[in-house]
Amino acid sequence: MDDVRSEIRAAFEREQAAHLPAAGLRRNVVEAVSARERPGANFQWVAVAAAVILGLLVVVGLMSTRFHPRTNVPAATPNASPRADYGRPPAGVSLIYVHDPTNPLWLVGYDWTGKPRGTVKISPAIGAGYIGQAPDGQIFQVTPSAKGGSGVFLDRLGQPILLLASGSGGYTGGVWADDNRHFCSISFDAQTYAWTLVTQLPGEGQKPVALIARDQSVGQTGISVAACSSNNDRAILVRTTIAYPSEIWVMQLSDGTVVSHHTYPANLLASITASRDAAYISENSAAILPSAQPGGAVVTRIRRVSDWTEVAEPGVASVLSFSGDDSRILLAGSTAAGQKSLLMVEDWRSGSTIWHSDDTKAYGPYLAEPGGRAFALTLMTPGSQDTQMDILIINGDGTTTALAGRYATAW
Amino acid sequence: MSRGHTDRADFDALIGPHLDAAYRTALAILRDPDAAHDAVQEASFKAWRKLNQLHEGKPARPWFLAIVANQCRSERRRHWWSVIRMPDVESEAKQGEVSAESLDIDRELAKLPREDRLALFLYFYLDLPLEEVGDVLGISAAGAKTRVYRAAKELRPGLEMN
Repeated sequence: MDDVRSEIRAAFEREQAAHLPAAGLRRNVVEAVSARERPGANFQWVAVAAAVILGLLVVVGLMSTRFHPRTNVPAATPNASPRADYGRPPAGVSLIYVHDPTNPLWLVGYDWTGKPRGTVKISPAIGAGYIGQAPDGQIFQVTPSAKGGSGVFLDRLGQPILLLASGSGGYTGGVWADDNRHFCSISFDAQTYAWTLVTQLPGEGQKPVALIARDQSVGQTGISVAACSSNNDRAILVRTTIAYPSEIWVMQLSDGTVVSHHTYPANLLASITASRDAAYISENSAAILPSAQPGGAVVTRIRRVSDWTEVAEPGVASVLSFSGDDSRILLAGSTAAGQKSLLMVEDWRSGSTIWHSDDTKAYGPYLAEPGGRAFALTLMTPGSQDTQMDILIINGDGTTTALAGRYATAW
Repeated sequence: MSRGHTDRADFDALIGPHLDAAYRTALAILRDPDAAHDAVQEASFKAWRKLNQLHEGKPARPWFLAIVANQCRSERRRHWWSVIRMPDVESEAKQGEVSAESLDIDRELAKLPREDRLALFLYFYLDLPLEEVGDVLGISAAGAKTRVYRAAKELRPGLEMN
């Protein structure tokens, strides 16, 4: 038996030796986990806590001392210089990446408390295009720029995973799936006018899911991925004709089955936004468009995708994004980035406003915290051409954390 | 000290020492280091949420490893798992200087049913007592002993277990 034990142990040793646990695993996991709220405390704990608090209050009252209540979620304000090397980013921690102002090929990763946690250094050889992060910051995608360059996926440390095949020019708008690992995009065949949903795992080739539509010719129309959920086995695909959403498909990722398909008359909607888990869509009203036409939807409507039921009407503003847990929406009074806009975060189920801006700034890129309730939002002076922007983290309870410095984002 | 800090300290004290074993367990099941890290992270969140379900006196290690194993099973059940890249552990082993006999046992281990392989890993590699192996697998200690014996016998027919 001892021989077998040694043999088996040695076999597992060989397997494990190639992939040792990341340095700092314990610290990173504990920090990441404890940064989250701990919901679902059972009623026994609530009762015990209530009893303890009552007891404390009685004692405090008797002793006539002051009781200092704990603040809810303190907003961290980082003081660290943005022009520093913060070392290797921790594994498994969702990070918000921005370009170091003095060295755009260095990406500084902030966690969702606003604390700088790591620096990713992109090689100049591959940094010619636009660098975009997966929502959790564990993978990057470099899109070729107009000046050329190769598309490439980078791992969380900035190392290339696989160069995309040259001539992937049919590739149009794509999104990261909600597992933050797969990339979902649309392939258009200019010979057959066929639109196909494809998925890709960095390190592997593209895999076609299914044909979405085949057009008669090339027109002023395009299909894009609004959401791609591996967790819910669902993709939401939207056709835009001229400037308005005209068709929407809900497709199963596993076999390409079209679960539902709807069409919209021209001019009805300004845009469609989907939650990352493809559970909800927002049909954004065209009423606020400068070019609003008669027949446009008066209000924005949120629908549950599974049964296409309307579940909320958050007014005329456009939903820019759902929060990672689907409890919040980021709303803008204008549909166009770069214009002055009233911005809001709402709990769409109750209709309560969690946070709003003062209508003096324009918004740029935004990012929802994966699985969470926070948003990262860029703000700029309306009309400004400056690529460096203020970045505000809007927490789920409406408190905010401003990153020190101004940055161009990688999202 | 705020309650948040106390929770964090509790979590670190209870679960922190087992994160290394958790990652190794996840790697043994999923055979993909990135997926293993993700699984441990997700399992840690679940453990964090369920921390008040860990009864006093109950050991944290099998409780947490059971959550990790369940998380890995969930990952594997997802149909998309089929397109996630698996590292070729065997070929990596071949790169080192290992004997043909060692490669044989590597291959035999890889062929075992996953739950049997996990039982061997927990018992022989992590040195968990059979009670804890059973807790992780969701079976009794006697059931765990049977499973470890059966799996080991697959690898080495004729084996007698004390």
